[in-house]
Amino acid sequence: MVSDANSQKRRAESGIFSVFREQEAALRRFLRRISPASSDIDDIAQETILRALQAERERDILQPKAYLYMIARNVVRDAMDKKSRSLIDYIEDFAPESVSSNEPLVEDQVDGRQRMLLFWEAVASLPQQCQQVFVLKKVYGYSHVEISRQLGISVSTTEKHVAAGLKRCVDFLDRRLAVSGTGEEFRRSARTGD
Amino acid sequence: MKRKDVLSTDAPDLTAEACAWLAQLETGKLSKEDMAAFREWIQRSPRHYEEIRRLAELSLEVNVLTGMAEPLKEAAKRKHIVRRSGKTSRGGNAFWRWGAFSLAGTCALAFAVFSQLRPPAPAMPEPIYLATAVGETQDVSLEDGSRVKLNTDSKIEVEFAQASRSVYLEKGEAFFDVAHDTSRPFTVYAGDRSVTAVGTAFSVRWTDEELVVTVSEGKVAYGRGLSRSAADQIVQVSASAPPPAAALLGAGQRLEVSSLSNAETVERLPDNVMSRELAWRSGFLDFEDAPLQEVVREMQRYTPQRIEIADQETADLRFGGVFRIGQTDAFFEALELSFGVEVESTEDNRLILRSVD
Repeated sequence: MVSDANSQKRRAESGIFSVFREQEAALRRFLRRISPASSDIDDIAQETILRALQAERERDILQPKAYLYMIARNVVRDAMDKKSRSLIDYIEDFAPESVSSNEPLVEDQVDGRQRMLLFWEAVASLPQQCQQVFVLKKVYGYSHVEISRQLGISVSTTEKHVAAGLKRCVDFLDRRLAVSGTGEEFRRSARTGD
Repeated sequence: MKRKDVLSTDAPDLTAEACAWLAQLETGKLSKEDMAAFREWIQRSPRHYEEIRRLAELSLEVNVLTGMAEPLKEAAKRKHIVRRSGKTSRGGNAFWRWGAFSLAGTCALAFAVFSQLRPPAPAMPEPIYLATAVGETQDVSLEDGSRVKLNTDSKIEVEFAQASRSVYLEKGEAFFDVAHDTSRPFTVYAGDRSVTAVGTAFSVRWTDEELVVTVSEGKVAYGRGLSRSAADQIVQVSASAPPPAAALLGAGQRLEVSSLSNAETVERLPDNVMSRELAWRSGFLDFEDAPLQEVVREMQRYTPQRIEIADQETADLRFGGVFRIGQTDAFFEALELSFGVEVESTEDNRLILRSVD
């Protein structure tokens, strides 16, 4: 289809909100599928359309439907990241003065999808219950209390599995990255996203 | 790397220690004593601080796994034959798949989904396995438009062929709302019994003690003596034959087969009893003036915790109430608050009910 940039843009602008309206029910089902039981789907859906409208002001969105779903995914993950970040902040408050907290981040060694599959491989190597706990926590964003309720185990058992799972992941990744010759421990890197 | 080398040679357990602390911090409810202990630990050495910070960052990085949520569920629901519909019970999201197939299998599938490697299309539709965990229910639409609702701790296998629709109830309880199709009888097999319908709604419950068939709409034929392999042969040999039926059950009727005596009883259920029996479909359990012993037997199906009754007096207590599936706590609260029953929870995760004197 041939069209100049302006008309394309106009179409997209009239697009994202109407696509949202059109997709809303499906999008909500999708969100319910990928987020923890306790999450507020209204909030996530609202945040999704707000971000989409914002982004639409800044650039052309050629595939509004795919874009909406991508944003929705990011919103769900951001909620989890926020918790993790506040924990990091908390830990950093204990920083000894001798340690600089601003070490440069290592360049991306693997792209986002590869990284995910690498982590997934680590998760797949976990013993069964540990794996269940870890998937609930890291894939579906369940809290420890929700996990223990779901699996009928105590919170302290959940904690033990989370700790063991993280330990295995870090061992797995260190080993894997050592083998792949980068020699550097796994470090966080900029995320791809919206 | 310098840091890592130090860690791995010098203090092999530091990572484990840091992981344990991190997990505890992530739960979020540290006691005063725990807090003090954590402070002491993290300040003991800069290496402690650095290690737990590294792990906290890794833990954040692992959140990228949220991207697996879809492929995992896609893999689990095997879209081409079964599509999920409605909602699962609270907290029950997709965990049924653990009963259905191992995570390793899911993992392989998810990889396939991710690397866009499509498995070769099967010539025959593969059987579908569906399962629920304890305390969970699950709504599923089948490709023919029939709907299945699985109750707690249940497992079925769905096998649709050109001229027959077969469901094997391996354990637990399921309610079937069967799409009308006279050319493809819909048969549910449980143990050595079978229930066949062409378009109706009924539930089948199969436990160690009994097989119960409850019909809420239409008619079903039930029979026995058809083992699974025999049923397979029928499907293969003569595509149209439903299993020979021994008797018919109509709406409002319930068949009970005791697995001990093999005795069959058919009774007509009053409407209120019927709706109570099938309340689980809406996510509720409904009891009225039932002996606690029976209520506990029913509640037991919805919780992994072992419930025990300490004395006969408590076992005979008449009990009533409506509870949401998956919220067994409310049941125990009701017992304690309104029925004078003490609920003791033991170290090994049992709950003991006894009357308070």
